[in-house]
Amino acid sequence: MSSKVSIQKLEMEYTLKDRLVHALTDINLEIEDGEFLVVVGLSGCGKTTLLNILGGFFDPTGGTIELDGRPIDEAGRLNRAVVFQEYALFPWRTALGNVEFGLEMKGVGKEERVEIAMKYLELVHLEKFAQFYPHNLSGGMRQRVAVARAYAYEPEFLLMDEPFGALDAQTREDLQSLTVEVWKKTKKTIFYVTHNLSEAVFLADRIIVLAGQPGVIHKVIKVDLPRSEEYKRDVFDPRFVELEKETTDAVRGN
Amino acid sequence: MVTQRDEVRLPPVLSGRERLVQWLKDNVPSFIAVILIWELLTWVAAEPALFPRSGVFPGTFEGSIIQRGYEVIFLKAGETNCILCVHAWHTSYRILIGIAIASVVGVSIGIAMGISVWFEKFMVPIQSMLLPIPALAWSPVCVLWFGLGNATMIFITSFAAALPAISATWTGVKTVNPIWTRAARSMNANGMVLFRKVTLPGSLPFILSGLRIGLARAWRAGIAAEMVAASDWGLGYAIFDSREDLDMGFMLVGIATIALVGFIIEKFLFEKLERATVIKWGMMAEVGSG
Repeated sequence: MSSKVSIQKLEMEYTLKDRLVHALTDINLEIEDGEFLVVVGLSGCGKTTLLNILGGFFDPTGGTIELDGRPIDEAGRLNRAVVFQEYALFPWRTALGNVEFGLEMKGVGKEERVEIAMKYLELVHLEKFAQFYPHNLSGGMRQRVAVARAYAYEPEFLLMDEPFGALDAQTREDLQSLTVEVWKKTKKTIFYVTHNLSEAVFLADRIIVLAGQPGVIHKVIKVDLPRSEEYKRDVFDPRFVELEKETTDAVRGN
Repeated sequence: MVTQRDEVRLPPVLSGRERLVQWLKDNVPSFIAVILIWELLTWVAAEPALFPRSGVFPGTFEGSIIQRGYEVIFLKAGETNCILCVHAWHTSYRILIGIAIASVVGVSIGIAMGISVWFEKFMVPIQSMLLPIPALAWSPVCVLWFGLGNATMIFITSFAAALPAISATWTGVKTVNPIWTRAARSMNANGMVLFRKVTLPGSLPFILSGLRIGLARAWRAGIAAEMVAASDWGLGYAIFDSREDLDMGFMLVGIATIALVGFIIEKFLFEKLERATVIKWGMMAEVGSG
């Protein structure tokens, strides 16, 4: 495995209502190609800010980010797609139309676009709902379309900002399983922000704990748990519980 | 395997006949109530020249509003067939042309205001000055500029419709959900593509409601302007002209026609447009759906 994204001495400051907020300081992080990286931390630790910087929505005030060894401002934006916490589907497009959007932006022709989009809708088990508009789908289905849309863009790097936080527990678990399943099939690099620690242990290759204000990397936890054939983890494994406890302690600052 | 809990909400599909029945159920009681109230009024006033009977009850046809309506629709007035239709047609096309001009100009200006900070700063004071002016106030000015007739009418109706279109479009563009824009930008949409595929459909509920208000305003201003500035044709002109003959029946038929034509345009133009877009997309609830 090689380093996909390399973050060096990243600093982030911004002004919020005339107050200077120092959001992140001295962030150094190597993200491996194909890695599932999960970022956790208390509210206000800067985890979403970090995601927004990687997404290209904010420019950092210091430090460098390199993609495949080249600074991102030189290589252009990161080839990335984002799944947001809120429903970010376009209501005026069908499920299929939403998934097609990124492909349209890449200039893929109509026929090929539909074919690829359908493939990804099948991946999230929504092929039967291709012609439905988002408002006729349940919350869980909408987030699945959002996941399919992000994957169909075929980004090298996928950013997910508490994507399943607003869903009920059962739907969330389904989507977590689905996410690892799709991740393994498509071999993407994922940067996933959550405040749900059990979710973090279930999904991650590595957990990054951010803490403090300004946020620093407080701890890095390697999740050395086997995944089943469907890439799932046994949540009742004593090691799972141990890791969840370790993460909880780290988030609390121990 | 993911557990499937795919509950989906779809509106029930009604046949044409069921829809008609539903429509009658929704609308007929209101009409009946209005007619009954009018009948009560004619009975209280007991002055048929000023308060003619509606004519819905047997034996009250002679001298009623319905009789006058029948005459102006089915009988010849001089050389003209269906004189009411001719008046309504003149009014309608003036107003529709006005609306068409206002849609193009108003939506363009509103979009430009939403996109360009410079243009927004430039337009806001102008817009604030123009908004309180009733379109009708321009009519004497227009009559001197363009003379009596269509040019004046179209100027007034497009002025009346453009202002709500401008401000609604401006608001719509400014308040497009930023999460849509960010999602699109993350997939490298920007510039005109971002505008066309995200900002424009995202602001469509506002644009349509602006045009709807514009239509109502143009319709009212247009009728009023016909009373002052139209020559020979148009519902406003006809109503105003009927006072000379104390033709109360024709006035009331004219007024009812204004309501009816306005209703039809709204129903067949705007509701169709809304159903095909913002209602289908769930961005706006349908009338009566709570």
